[in-house]
Amino acid sequence: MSDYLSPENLTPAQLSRKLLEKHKRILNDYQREFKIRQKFSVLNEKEDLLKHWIKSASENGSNDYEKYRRDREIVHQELSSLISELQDITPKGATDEPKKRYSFLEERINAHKEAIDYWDGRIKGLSKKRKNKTKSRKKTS
Amino acid sequence: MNEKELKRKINGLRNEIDHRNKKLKAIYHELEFYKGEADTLRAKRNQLNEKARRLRGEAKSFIIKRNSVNKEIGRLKNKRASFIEKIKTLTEDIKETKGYRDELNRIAGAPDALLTEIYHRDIEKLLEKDIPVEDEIRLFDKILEVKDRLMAAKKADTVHGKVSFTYEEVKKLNQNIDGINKSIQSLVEESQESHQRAMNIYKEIDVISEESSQAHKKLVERYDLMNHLRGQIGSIKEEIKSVQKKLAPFVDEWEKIRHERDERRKSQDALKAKEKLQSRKRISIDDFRVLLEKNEIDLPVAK
Repeated sequence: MSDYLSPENLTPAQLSRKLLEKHKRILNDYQREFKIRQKFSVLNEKEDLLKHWIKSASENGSNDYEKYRRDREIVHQELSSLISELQDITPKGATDEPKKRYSFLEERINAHKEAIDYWDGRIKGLSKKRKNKTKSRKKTS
Repeated sequence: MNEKELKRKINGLRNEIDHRNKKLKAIYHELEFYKGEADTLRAKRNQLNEKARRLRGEAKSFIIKRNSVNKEIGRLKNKRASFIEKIKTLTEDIKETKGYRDELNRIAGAPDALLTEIYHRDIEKLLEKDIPVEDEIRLFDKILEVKDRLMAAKKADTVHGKVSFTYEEVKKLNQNIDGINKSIQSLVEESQESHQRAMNIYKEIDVISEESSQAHKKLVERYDLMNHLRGQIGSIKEEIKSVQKKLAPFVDEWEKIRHERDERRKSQDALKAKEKLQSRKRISIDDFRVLLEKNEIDLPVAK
């Protein structure tokens, strides 16, 4: 634990700032996962579409067959990379259900945004209080 | 008064003188005896006074020692009083500090170790776990409250340490006081011993002084007796002078009569010797001497 979190040095403002840092860090992690899942969803749909186009091109003897096949290969590689990335960042015990996870992330991102607003407001309130205190001290002296 | 009467008178007066001389001799003898006693008594008195003087010096040295020890006792008593005063102040300080410590413990409400555990557990939960903001607000307030309690507990520990340190100080002061008490006790015994020895010596001096006083009294009595005897000697000597004065004219008168009788006898003897000489009878040496004395014979002058 950092020195400034030792009980001797702890202040409400410091603790609030640490909370703000925590929320920003978690928000960042959730947003990152959220974006990856969004990208994954898009690429997943794209792969489905390319699979469909490859099948049609094969049946019709279209010249685009090879192009679709290469694109699908690229998308597939990207999806594999995203899956690996998701496996790394998704916490253990989190639901395997992508939709549930997605809505969880959405809900948590909003909650952390609200929490950031709350703690940010509290820090500002504390700062204002401190400034007023300093002013009244100066006036007294 | 004829020669016989004179002789009787002279002998009578001479007897009176002899009688007084015998009295004088007896008085001188008695005086000598008293003088001897006075010398012994004087020597005894002086010896006792010298002993008393020496003992007074000895007693004084014990008194000086006792006073010096008493002074040291006084110094130690002052030191002990200052320690007692210090203990009193420290005890009051302990009482006050303990009150403050108890107040801090009351604020803390739990031991330092338990509060530290709660504090770190809650900090970790607040800053590491993803929990609802309502729980965070509650935990935030709780952490600040536990922090204050923990600070109070730590302060209580520090204050308790101070109390323990002060207790140690009081303990050391009490040990010092015990040491001082032992020193005082030992010095009191030393002082009492010196005092007692001085008192014993003074008692001895009193006995010696009384003895010396008795000897002096007896000496003065002897002086009085001797002075009385000297007075008697003077009187008797005066009496002898007076008798001698009375005796002198009688002796002169008796001498004169004797001389005249001797002169008469010598003249008769000279006359008889002259008759013997004229009758050419043999003369004795005494006759010859009488003739010479009376100038009845002319001795040839040596040329």
